[in-house]
Amino acid sequence: MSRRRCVSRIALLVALPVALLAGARLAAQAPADEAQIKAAFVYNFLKFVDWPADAFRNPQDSFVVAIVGDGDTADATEHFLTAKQLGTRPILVRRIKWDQSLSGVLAVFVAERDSKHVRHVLEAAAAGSVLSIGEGEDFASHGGIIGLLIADRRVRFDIDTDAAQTAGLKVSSKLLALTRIVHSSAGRTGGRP
Amino acid sequence: MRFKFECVGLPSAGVFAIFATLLSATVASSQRVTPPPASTASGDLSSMDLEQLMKIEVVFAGSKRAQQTRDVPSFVSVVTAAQIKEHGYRTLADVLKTLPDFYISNDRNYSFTGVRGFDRPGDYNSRVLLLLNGLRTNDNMYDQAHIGEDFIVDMDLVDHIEVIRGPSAAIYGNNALFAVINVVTKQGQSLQGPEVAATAASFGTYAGRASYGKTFDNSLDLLVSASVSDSKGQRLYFPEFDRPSTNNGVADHADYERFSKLLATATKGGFSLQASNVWREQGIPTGSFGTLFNDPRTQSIDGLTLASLSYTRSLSDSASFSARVHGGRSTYWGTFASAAGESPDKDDGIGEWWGADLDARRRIARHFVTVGAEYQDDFRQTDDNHNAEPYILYYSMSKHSDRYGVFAQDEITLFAPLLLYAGARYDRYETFGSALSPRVGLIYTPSGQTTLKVLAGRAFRAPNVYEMFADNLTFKPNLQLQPERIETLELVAQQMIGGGVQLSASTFHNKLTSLLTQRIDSTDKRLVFENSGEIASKGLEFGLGVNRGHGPSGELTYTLQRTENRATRIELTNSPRQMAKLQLRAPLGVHDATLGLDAQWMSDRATLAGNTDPGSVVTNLSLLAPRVFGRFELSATVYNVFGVAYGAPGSVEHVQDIIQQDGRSFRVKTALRF
Repeated sequence: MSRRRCVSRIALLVALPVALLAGARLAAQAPADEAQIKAAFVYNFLKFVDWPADAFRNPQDSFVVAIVGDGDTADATEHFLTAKQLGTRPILVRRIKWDQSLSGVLAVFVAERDSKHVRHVLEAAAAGSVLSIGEGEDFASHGGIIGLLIADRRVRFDIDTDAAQTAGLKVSSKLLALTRIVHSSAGRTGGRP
Repeated sequence: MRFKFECVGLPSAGVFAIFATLLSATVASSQRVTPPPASTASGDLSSMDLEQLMKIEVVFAGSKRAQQTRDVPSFVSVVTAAQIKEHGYRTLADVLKTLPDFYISNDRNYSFTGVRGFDRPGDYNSRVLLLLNGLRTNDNMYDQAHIGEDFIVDMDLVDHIEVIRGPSAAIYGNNALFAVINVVTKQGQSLQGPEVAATAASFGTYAGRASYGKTFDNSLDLLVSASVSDSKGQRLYFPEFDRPSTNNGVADHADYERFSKLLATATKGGFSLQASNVWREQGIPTGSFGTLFNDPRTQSIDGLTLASLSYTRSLSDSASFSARVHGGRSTYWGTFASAAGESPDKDDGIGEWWGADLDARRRIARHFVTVGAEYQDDFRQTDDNHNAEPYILYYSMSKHSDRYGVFAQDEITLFAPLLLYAGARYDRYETFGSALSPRVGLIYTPSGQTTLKVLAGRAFRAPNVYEMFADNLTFKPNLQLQPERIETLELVAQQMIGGGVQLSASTFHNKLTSLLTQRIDSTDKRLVFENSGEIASKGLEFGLGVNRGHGPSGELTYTLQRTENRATRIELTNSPRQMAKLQLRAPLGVHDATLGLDAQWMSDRATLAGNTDPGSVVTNLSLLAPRVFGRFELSATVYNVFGVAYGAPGSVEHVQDIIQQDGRSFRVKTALRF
């Protein structure tokens, strides 16, 4: 059997995984189960942040969470929060584009990867008392409020208390007790928790 | 005799691919009718608070993707870098011996791991699959998993170790009989600059390491590291050689060990590049294989070089794929001195290979499907045996073979807390033919606190080139060898109770058939492998773990098992009926210092000569002071604190029926981060 024939057989082996993916669109990175755990974190964060009194008009209003960008964690967060409640308020999830208004939004999950777009969303969030949550070591030290990351095989998170203060949000001490605090004003902190 | 390049018949793979295409097309037309469930068992993720969520471990090796430990269709242990440091574990063998099911024997040349009562003579850990960041490290000559200082990576660079018990051949193919051990290394991010470490230990052992790691602004993560070590070794007494002609049983300068290791990893975006190398020289002080006792010329040198480039990309609607190309080279140079003043006999075993694999994962309604294909071209499998000086070739073997495998696994959420795993892998080897490895599992999680698993599977181990073709003064070939197989049934129960306490219990039943067994041929006194015997083993395990995220933590485990030949009902050699293990870690309240204590108890083991190797308790004590002296991190460990004399059963090539293991020894280590 010739080497060329072998190569064609290797090509046949490749067909198997490729076939499974037929029709799937390109998007962001994150394994599925990790995404679901992160989504559960996002839900919990919402319970430990106080918004300024003027953020709510009446107690029955929906709690609006926006998701910018796509990927596994964004999808999992959307599914996780849909039909859930925070106190008396039903959570309403909106998938929006990076340049859409955050008016009426209380929290935004940023899964956008273009750094210019991210900056735009974070600036809008800071101006409008919106809690910004994202992924990666750099998220909370580059203007975001809560950054989810993986350390020691577990999901961990950083909170930038300066950014929270700028946005007029009060983060519960219970949440702060569980995490590493970063200060965007002081630049990046070293080391992992 | 050289194998000509020949590609093994692939019609069945073709059928597989066509089948998958059809399946995918069917599924594609039916998908999105119902939205995918938020999670495989999301009901309990919603009810968990942050502290509970922070305890969920994510492991990779169970199904080749990141998963919660709970959802892996196996009994899983994870050992982290913090535990390695706090207990002063020097090698992978040090880590494995603290886990339920595992026990270690050292014949003063290599460390061998027994799993679930099973450790056969002449088995170079070929019944466990050892992965480095998901890449196979078992070589293509002996299928050896190196777990001593001959392991390819310095333990300081290990981020965590995932140990997946039971057969995982349905995903990984060959060697995944008893366990898959995946060693995951640190990323540059966890160093953020240069780091150096220096070690001094008993028996004239000195070691050093220099590493540099960093994540750059353009998101490139880089880690490079080099380690070296030199150990004079021990002065050892073997009563079997206590005669004036053999230095009264004392081996003086024959236990030396030297090694060097290199690791480089680079990650950017979905790309990941990894290169690693180990070279280790070990004196053999036991006079094994009929060599001259106390001759420092008798030694083995083992080397392994691995390189891989992989790419992972996620696609929307919960789909992703990864592709990898890799290459490897393993070397074994053995020197055996048989008579004083005469030139020694030498073994040269060299394996070289390249391979490629591709995996794809996709969530489709209540299904999570993983499929993959792997190809490996073992383009060099050579072994020769010659007289060193003058060069006289006694025997030479040169093989060239290839193998491929395809697998598919489906995780089906039957209803919210019940997951069904069904998967199979088909492997084809040029050397012996094909093997099919199915696996099914049911995982029931009625609440976030309780997990029940029922697992059944079949795995195989291919006869390797050494077992099939080695032909020299010591070994005799057997071209008729077929793979050995294992069938297992396992039940696992895990319960979280308050205060970070977890209880676990599991029971297993293993049946091994067509076992690849080494025996001495009575006609020419050479060692030969054959498929013979059926082994049955059953056991029970209990575990208690405490981890509250702060304060003291620890694990206590107990194993009761019996492994016997099914025909004779005689228990296997080197198979302890009971084991208990304890690990405790306690912060001392000053400068983040911790005290680590670990102890392993093992009951009697039968030896090859029909003797009993008595049970023993070995205790190790370690102190870690990360910040007492500024930026210096200091650790001190005493191994076998009470100096307990204990042994491990010898193998066919040893005169010793029981080989004495290390007595009390110490190690001090310091690391400095700039």
